[in-house]
Amino acid sequence: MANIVGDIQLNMRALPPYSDVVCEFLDYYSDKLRHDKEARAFGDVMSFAFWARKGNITAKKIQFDRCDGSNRRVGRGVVFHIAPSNVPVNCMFTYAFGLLAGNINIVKLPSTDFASLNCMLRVLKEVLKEDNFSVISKMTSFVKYDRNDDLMTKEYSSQCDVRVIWGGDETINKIRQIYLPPRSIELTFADRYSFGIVNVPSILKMSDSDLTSVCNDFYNDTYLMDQNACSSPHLILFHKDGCNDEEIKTAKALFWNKVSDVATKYELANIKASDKYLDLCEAVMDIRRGLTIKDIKSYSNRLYVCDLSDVPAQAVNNCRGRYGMFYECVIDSLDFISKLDDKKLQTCAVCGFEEKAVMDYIVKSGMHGIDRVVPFGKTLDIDTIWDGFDIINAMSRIIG
Amino acid sequence: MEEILKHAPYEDDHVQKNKILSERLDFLTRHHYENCKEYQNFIDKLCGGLKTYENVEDIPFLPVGIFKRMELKSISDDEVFKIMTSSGTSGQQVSRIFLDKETAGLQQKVLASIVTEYTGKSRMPMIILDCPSVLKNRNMFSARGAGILGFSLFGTKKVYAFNDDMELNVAELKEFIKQYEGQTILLFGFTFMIWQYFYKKLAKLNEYLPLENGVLIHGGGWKKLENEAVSKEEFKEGLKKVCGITSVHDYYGMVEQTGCIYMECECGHLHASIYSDVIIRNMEDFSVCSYGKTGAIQVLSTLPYSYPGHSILTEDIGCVLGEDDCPCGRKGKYFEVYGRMKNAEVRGCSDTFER
Amino acid sequence: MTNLEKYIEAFAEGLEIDKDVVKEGLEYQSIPQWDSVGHMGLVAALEDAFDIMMDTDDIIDLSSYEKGIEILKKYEVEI
Repeated sequence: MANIVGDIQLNMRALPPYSDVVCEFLDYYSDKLRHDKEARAFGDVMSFAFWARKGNITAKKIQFDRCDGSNRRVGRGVVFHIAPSNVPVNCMFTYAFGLLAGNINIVKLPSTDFASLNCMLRVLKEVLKEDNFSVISKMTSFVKYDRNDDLMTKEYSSQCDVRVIWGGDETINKIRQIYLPPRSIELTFADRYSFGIVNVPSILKMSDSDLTSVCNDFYNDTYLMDQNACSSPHLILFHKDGCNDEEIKTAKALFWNKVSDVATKYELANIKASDKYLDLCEAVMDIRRGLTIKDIKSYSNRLYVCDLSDVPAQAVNNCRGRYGMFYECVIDSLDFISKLDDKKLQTCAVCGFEEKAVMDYIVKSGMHGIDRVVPFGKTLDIDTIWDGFDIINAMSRIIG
Repeated sequence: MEEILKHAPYEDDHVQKNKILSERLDFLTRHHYENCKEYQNFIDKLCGGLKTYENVEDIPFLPVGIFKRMELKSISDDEVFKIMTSSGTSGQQVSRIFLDKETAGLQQKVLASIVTEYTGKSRMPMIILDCPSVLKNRNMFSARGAGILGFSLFGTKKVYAFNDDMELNVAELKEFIKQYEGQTILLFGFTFMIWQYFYKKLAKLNEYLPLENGVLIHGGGWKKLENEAVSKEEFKEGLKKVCGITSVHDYYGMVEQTGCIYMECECGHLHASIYSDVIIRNMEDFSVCSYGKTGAIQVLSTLPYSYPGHSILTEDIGCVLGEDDCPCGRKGKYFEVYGRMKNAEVRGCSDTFER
Repeated sequence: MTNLEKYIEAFAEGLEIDKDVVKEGLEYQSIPQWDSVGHMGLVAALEDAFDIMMDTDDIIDLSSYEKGIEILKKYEVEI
């Protein structure tokens, strides 16, 4: 076990959400990251720094202050974060959420080393040395210990007021066996499934540069994270919106050809190409999945697209791709998304639709799933509203 | 197939070989298409339907991992004669390969035909560099067990080098060698175990076993030895030091294509026989790599009739060095294997907390 | 410092480029430094320089040197 960063004092008093010292700290840290030569090379670090910048945090604070009872909130106390093992930047996001809510934070780092995470920790260490932020340092502990060391997890669990678990179902089940004090609460960010909807007429109307920009966004939503992030789409529904078969075909071809062009920048490691081909073969061969695959298009090994004739039942389990393998299907109304419904549904990425139309549909139909509706390019943008939780509210208590 | 078996393993040049192989592989593709529903889906949905294949390169290939994920066979359940599994560590999924009597028989015949090219036709005393317990379950052969059983065919008198705790029986081996002094002794085992439990033990004990007349055939890959940074040359050198053996042949093969092994010749090259072939593919688009270019290894075998494993894309990286012109005189392609594809850092959040 | 000087300074700092490069005609993706990652640095630098908070739409619309000047007008910054 090792405490990597921070000088935690568990008996520290909690702060109200969006306290000045936390906002100043985030701004300062963001600034340091943005001016750090090494940090600038990591896209994910920059996206965190961008999120933590003054402009954004102040806007969030203003919005928060407008909420009823915002002045009657205070952090719950100690938050124990079990960070995800393969989205390094989320260690920092979950920590920042904990601070913004006013808490003392213990963050369990992944045991694998990530260059981008090490870089963020190095800069953080420097920032916490500053006198202005000694209070933040006392609210901070980044720890690293063996994943099988249940004793440490037990110890921290018994001391925390909020336990936050980012992980697969197995991890969550395993950690849930570990005692949590009666008054403590738990937030779990489990494995999720995401999909996208594309409006066919919008694609047909797009200029080439707009299409490139949409496909670039789509690339960032998927390939950038090996299509392995919970919010990366696996299935794309093409909403025909009055178009005929020929037009649909054209739109699909336009879209996928452009995606394949953009994906030439993807680093396709041999083992990834191999696993992806295996996934594709299994999808085609496994009769039990009941997929109605009409056609498969491969654009070299960078992009595979399986064309389905029906919206699949159990898509959450049966239609998953990695490293650039997608399922597609044509729908004529939004009603078809209820066929996908599952508690695991997380993000619905939209192109050529108002987000509100889909949100209204979710609320009206009382679906179990879909916690986010965002335009293409935004699926990975993590924020204080995530997986159906308002994290700042969840990590603070309200005095009624 | 009867016809092919009449051919010696390394006599036909690429023109004849392509004709012989593509005919058989075309037949097998058709057979699996008609008898394995999953394979039919694969051909119809992914390969644009069944075609006539005139070139070995045109035969569609399944990824080797598919045998871990699905049970594939082109025969009825009651024709299943035995099931072979790959040796995986516990918790890992293993390949399950279904054999009927014919396919199992062909595997033995072809193995014999290839190996006797290196050892000579007459059977000989044999030292199995493994422990007796590896053959315990006769219905579920592991790759290790299958290898030993297959090679046992070439031995007359046999002795196991290790007891079940993997302790080397030095005294017993000395006795055995003395008994057959002057004769060629065949040694067989897995590369890693030979190094770990045979070489290291002898070196530590400072013992020498007089096996100057021996022929050692070993396989199973270099992955575990890479961690110890043991090169092929060091392996051969080391063995020469502890037992004087000079005829040492590595082989490349896998449970998914048992029988069709690729033996290392005197020049250190692995050779494809008339019963099988290798193609190197570029993982960017599966195009065929020219000789000298590194890529993923596709293996083709004329044997798999009971399961659709006649054309498989492995997860190994290698390079074809040439065809028909190896200085050892054997015809056919000769190549090198560089090991498994490197693990890549995978991003994303599904299944975290590192298992 | 005039607003124009501040504006150029913010570009130079945000994108890590020479001030000489910051002039009319400079567009998103026209130089390697102004890619999607550089863009985030630029927005943060502009916000810091003029003490403003930009709307998401404006962040997306900020596609050139000239466009930036136009957008800043909305935040009562005249350049």
